[in-house]
Amino acid sequence: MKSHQLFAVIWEKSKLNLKSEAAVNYLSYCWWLFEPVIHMLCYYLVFELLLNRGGPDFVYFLLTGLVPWLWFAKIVNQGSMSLIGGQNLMGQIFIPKLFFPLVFVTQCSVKQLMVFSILLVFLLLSGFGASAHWLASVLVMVVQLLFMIPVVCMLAVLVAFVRDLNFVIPTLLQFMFFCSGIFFSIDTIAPQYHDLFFINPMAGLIHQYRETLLHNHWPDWLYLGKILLGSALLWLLTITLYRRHEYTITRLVQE
Amino acid sequence: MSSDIIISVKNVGLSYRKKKSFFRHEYHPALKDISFDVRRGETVGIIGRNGVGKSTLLKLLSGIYMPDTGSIVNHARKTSLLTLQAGFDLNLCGRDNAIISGMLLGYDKERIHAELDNIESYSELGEFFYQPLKTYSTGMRARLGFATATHLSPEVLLVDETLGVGDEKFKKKATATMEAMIQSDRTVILVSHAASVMAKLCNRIVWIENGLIRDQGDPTTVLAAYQQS
Repeated sequence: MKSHQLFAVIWEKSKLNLKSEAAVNYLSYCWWLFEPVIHMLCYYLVFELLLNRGGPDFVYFLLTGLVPWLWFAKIVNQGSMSLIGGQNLMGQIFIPKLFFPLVFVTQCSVKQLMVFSILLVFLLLSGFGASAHWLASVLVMVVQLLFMIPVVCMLAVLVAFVRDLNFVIPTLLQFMFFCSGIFFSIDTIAPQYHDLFFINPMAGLIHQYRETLLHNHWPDWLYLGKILLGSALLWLLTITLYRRHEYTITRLVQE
Repeated sequence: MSSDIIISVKNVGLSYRKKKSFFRHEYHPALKDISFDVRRGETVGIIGRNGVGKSTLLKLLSGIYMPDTGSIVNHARKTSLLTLQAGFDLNLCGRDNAIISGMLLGYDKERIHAELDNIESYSELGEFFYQPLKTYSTGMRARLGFATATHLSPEVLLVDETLGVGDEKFKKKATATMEAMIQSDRTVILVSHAASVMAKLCNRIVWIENGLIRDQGDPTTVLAAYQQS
């Protein structure tokens, strides 16, 4: 299969998966909107109303952190099972194994575009003025995507090799959730720990989303560059790993 | 005439790994040392008892597996298993499933679109072609699978006991289609337990036993020996 054919089939399969997913629900495509809204509402209820945390703008602060985080968590959590989930198809035809995680990333990201647009509309309606900085937030999104793809592809292979990891990933995600500053600001952390805090790329990216969307600042270009560089290395590693284990994976997932 | 050889299998072996206990595995050899050639346009039948590795061999030939030992040289542009219902999704309609199945088999969307009308009429699904697969009966699903797989079939076709799908009438049609494909200049490798079908369709038979080739050659001779064993 040539690479343009692979991309075409990834795109087609992602579209059809979304269609298939919508077909089984009464509210079909409306769930693209409802699911994240319900999720965000829960966090809002807990942190704003029950715990009474944060200041007057806490809800915007929370949402700009939560929207990118939910995208990341979903892709990592479910995407890491994508190779295992493809075992039937792998046994029937030869298909490059990158197909499986990439289809999942694509279908999740199409939904994310929708959720992100809703976040922007919500911010606009709440009186945050759209500025050129908002365009930079789209760039932050692209960086996040480029970072997540190799991460989930690698995790999917690791899970194929050692299924046990499947039990560890949700816990790690939970830990990362608490360390990404979704419901607290970086200012609440002692300054000597800031560098440590930003080693977590999601913490840094969420901070950049807030800078661009809420504070009308430009993102920290150097930081984004570092994430891109790190991602590029992960990409190289991922491609090597998939090339080398193209056939091993088929056998592993069927064991 | 080596130029006529389209697939050459040399000393191929493959073992499956089985989990035994914590961190320990044992290996079960499915194929030990298999060598044979397939010439362009030929129909080769593979026989053997259950579990001797016939399906594994087809998976090796279609490039799903890599052999652990030995090598396979394949000169065909496309070799694939006649997989009925590859990648089918029950929530999608027949048309969408035919498209994605064809794309997964490595065909361009344009090529599949050109075949869609033929697939629709061959499968005899009528309006159901535009309905979700979950509303189909098992036979209807098989018909769609067969129609898609045969209309988008590769240069070398690998068939694993799929002659006969759907009801009697469709079964006859499917068998006729398969026979026509086999008798054309297409290269076919066929796995079946039906000796009569094998004798009728194949130019040559390869008999596998205990992961090795027990015998290969003229269908009548090899089949007679196989049935006596």
